[in-house]
Amino acid sequence: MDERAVLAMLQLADSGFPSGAYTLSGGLETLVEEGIVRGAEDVAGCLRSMLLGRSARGDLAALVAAHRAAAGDPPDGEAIVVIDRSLDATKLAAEERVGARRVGRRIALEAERLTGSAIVHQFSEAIAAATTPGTAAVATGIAAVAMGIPEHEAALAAGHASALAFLTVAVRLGRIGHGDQQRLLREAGETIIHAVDIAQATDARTFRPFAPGLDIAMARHETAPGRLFAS
Amino acid sequence: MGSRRPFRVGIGGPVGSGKTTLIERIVPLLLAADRSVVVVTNDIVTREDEMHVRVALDGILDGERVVGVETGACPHQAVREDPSMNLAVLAELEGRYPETDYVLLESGGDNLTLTFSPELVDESLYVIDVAGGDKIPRKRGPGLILCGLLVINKTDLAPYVGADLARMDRDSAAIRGSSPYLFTDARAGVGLDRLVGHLELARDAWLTQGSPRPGVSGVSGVSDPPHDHRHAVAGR
Repeated sequence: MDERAVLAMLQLADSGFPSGAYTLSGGLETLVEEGIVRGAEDVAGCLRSMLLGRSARGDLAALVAAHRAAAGDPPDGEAIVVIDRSLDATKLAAEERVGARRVGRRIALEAERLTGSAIVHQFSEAIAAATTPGTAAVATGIAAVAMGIPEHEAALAAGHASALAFLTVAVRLGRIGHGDQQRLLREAGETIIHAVDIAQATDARTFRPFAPGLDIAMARHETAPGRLFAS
Repeated sequence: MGSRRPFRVGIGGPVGSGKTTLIERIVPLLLAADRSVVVVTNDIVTREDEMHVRVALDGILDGERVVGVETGACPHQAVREDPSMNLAVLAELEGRYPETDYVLLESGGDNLTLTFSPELVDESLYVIDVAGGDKIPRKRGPGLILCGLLVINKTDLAPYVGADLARMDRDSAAIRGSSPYLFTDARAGVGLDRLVGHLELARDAWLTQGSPRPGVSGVSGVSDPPHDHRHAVAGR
């Protein structure tokens, strides 16, 4: 990967990239609130479910599929809409769906501003016209193409970013400290690589994320009395 | 004016300084001036502010026009470094109510360093209260210095908490320079006409300029002269 692509990957995956993703807990807030997740090992278990259960055959697989469609010559805008709608349909909890759409819209707008890319512009327009939901994963895949980041690296970076975001939620909820956060992130490396391998081998027509514990937690979060996070 | 998005006003300030009450009291004044309003609250732990505003304005403002945003335990980030979720909600609200003139965007309770992203709001108020200590203006902080209008609220409590309003006035004048500040008692409605007057002038300036003002600093040209502020203290 050339140097500019490395820098672009770091920019897109950085927690400072303005996507709003830090407001989502992915069900972790409820699991903490209900006493199901207490310590570092519980958090690590949830992170594994998130990466292998939810992301590998869901978000990451859609990111890869969107990347392939956007990187084609010419880019396949119709395929992107199909991928986007298919991923959106797998998100059972309303808060996950709404959160992914809000983050996706922001990523698309920022990537369009940064790159002026036609395919990102087309995706932003489709979101604005409500012809596509604009999920975060699909927006990230297209943004990666616009910023010159190859598919495998884009997926690895997204896996890393989602793991870091998840662990940061655990820190903010007081379940782990900063040392455990970094230890768990490093230990999650093999899981992230495995999740990306699965994502790259997943057929774009058969997204099937399966993390029922997290899905139920996100559904319960809708009526939770205390809410720091939007999911 | 027809195709333009609404004028966005950020309202920051410490927990309990009266941001929510201020919003509840100025919305009727804006509606009376024939302005269309939506409210976004950045709640920290609950939807308490969103619900409070809805209940307080029941029958005055459609509850659907009041939306709470969760900030992921980061009230500053949600309006400054990464206002994505607020921008996403604004896009939804402004799409649903295209005739809106004003967005009032309340930050989560914050500290004196809070400023709003100039890409999120066009004008900002920073609300402190006299019961928080009359030394607060002296502490400076970007929130107090860079906001469009510094609001010093709950002047009615000054005698009960030993707050010296004359000192707050002097210190505010010193840190604000030519930028305006205002004493209010939001619950009793004292000073709110002037506050709405400030917003209207700021909005006029924004509409005339044709684009949001750069930076987060005060509204040059609509600053009130210092003697008027002393007037506000004397007339409380």
